[in-house]
Amino acid sequence: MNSPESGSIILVGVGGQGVLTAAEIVAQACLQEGYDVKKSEVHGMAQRGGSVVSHVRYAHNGSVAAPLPRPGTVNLIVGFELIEAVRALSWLTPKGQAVVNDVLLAPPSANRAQVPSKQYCLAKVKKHTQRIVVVDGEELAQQIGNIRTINTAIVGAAAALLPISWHTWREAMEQSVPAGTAEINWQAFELGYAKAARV
Amino acid sequence: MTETVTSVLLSGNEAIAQGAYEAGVAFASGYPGTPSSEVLETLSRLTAIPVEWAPNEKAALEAAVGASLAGARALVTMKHVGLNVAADPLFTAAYTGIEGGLVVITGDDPGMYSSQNEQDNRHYAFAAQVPMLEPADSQEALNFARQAFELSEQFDIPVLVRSTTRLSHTKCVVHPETPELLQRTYEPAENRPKYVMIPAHARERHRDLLARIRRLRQVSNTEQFNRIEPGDTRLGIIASGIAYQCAKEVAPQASFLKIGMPFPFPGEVVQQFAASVDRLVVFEELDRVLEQQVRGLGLECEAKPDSMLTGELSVQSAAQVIRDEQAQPTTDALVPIRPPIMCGGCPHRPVFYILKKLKAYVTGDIGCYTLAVLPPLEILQTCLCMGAGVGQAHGIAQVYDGDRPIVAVIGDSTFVHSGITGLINMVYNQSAATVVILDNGTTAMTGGQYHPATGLNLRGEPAPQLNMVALCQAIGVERVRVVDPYDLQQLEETLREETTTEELSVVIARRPCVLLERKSLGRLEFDADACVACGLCLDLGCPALVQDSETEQRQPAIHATFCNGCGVCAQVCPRQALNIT
Repeated sequence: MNSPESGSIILVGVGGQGVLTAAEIVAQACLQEGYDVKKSEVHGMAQRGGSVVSHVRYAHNGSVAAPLPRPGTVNLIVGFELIEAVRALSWLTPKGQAVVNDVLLAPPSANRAQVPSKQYCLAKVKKHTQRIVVVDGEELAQQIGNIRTINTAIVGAAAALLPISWHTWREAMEQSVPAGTAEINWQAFELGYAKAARV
Repeated sequence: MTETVTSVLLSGNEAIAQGAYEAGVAFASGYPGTPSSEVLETLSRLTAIPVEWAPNEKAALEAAVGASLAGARALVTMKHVGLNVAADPLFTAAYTGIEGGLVVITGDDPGMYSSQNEQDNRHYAFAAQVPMLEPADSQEALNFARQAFELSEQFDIPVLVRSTTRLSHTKCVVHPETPELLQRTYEPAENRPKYVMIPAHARERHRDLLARIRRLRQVSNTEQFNRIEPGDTRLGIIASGIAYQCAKEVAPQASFLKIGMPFPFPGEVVQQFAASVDRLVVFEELDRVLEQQVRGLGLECEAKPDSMLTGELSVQSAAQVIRDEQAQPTTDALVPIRPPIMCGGCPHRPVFYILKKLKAYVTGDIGCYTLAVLPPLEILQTCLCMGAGVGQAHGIAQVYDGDRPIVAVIGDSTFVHSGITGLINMVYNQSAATVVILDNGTTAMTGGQYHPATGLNLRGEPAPQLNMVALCQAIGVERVRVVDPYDLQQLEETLREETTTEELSVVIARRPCVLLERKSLGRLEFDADACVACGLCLDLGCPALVQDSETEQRQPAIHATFCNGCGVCAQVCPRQALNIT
């Protein structure tokens, strides 16, 4: 973060990947850390395989006004899918960072000549960021033994780049995930965090 | 003594529900529609009062007027185009006034994230002479929803609260409070000069409405809803809603007149504000509603260019209008777009596949099935408004002499919303077109809400179930067939017969939405040796089947995560290369 006093995060992915739950955890964590926060999302189409985008803006001292930041000012992209991460790059500040899930889902409507390779997407994201953390969310979730924790593993990796304390994340997790799943989601979070902290 | 203030993150819609709850709302109704759907869903979790999905917005508003007549505070929710449907009772309810507070939520959709138009419902406030409140964040959404009930009762008038998609779906920090305990007994009012709008009564009530609006204008001219935020007097900005937030971000030092009540328009406050600043800018989303009012006062002002009459406003557009910054060219990411698609196993898909095979001309409307306009199906020819496909098919069939089957498709929830009257019209005027009811047992597009034909109420409790077959027969449709869209052969035979007959027929394609049950019906296996790469399966446009990127031929690859094992592709395949095990 270029300023710990304020920042904005964009979380992107494909319907069904748990992007909105992840954004909820991040926004709750910001709130509990004492920030003013606004979380905006476009849903309704989320379950039909479309792009899903959520913005989280936070600030100390004075409130966040507009729900959406200006393009070119976002500090962190959390990309659950590589094509969506590339699509989100115009939001990022030149000093921005990215956490990306190492998976590419070709849009079913695209013909194959249009679909970029993983390498192309990763290179694009690298070129536009000061720091990139690539996480294999599926592998981490498999280590936990529950494939539905991919999104919390990725939030864990993003957490290593955000000015929010460890115990706040724990609280935010408990508030945002379905009852009874906090523990397994927390394990995935820790794995993701450790992965990003090593990079 | 300090009170403990709870801070929670609530979306605009959740905050509206909380506000209504705090105001002691006793009845709520609506019809789902993005961005308004979550208001009633949230309210139903907060309180045990009747919270209902109505068949459509008109029925919802009329029910709320009834609850209000009995003295209850009543809430109605709908999306912007829903207010078109409910406009009839709204305009006259402004004349009659209310007993218990009556608040109507309209969720506008600038940018059309999930709508067929982006009409600006502030016009309704001016046209119906009904006060409107327009919040700019979740805390205001809560406060305004709550205050709307008080305003309604104080001035004997329904109150509109306008949200937008961005406001409804942005979570902000909110401080909820405990609800009011209204000690009321509900008794239907007897006041015929006020509630029976025969011309003699209505003339009097119209005069009374104008007087009520004059009194409301005094409220509008106080700080309660239209607030001057003094700042640098060289720049004064008049703004409302999300546009206010964007302008605030671009010019935090400027003087602001924040409009929270666009109607009745606060002329005096605007005059006073305009006189206090050197440069006056009006910044508003969609139509030039505030700007025209400001100019109507004889004031000069700057405003946005015509290009900003469509779509959402942003911080960049605020910078362009207020600071004259050039719009930054958006760089294309050079990655393919990812539009929403019908789910793997969607029961709508086989219907469109067969209709395409039959070379039908297909009229439709709003729902997941509108997605049949996109490749590879590209079969849907119209989407105008809820229920319109039924009327359109009738009109076409009355004048068209060619051989193509004329078919209207309509979802089950939409049929109940506004398909029935169109179908009665077809019976009465002896239409030869075909109506296909795509009955997936839910209001799928807006997130799976129950409706009268599902047998469950808003809270998911058992309710009487509308029998659509019996209904069609009762209104005089002689040919009513029910078919399982997963049974491709039966589906094709049925549709072929019903579209070639010379009389009206209704085909109900019945199979639950895949998002309702989320169960797998079997595992799809692909035998590459048997495949002749004809590509017929790919013509279905199912996300579970994609063209194998390793070959140029039209051979499929299976995306197992999207497949529910519906088996439709296996029935399409001429070589048994696709099999369900």
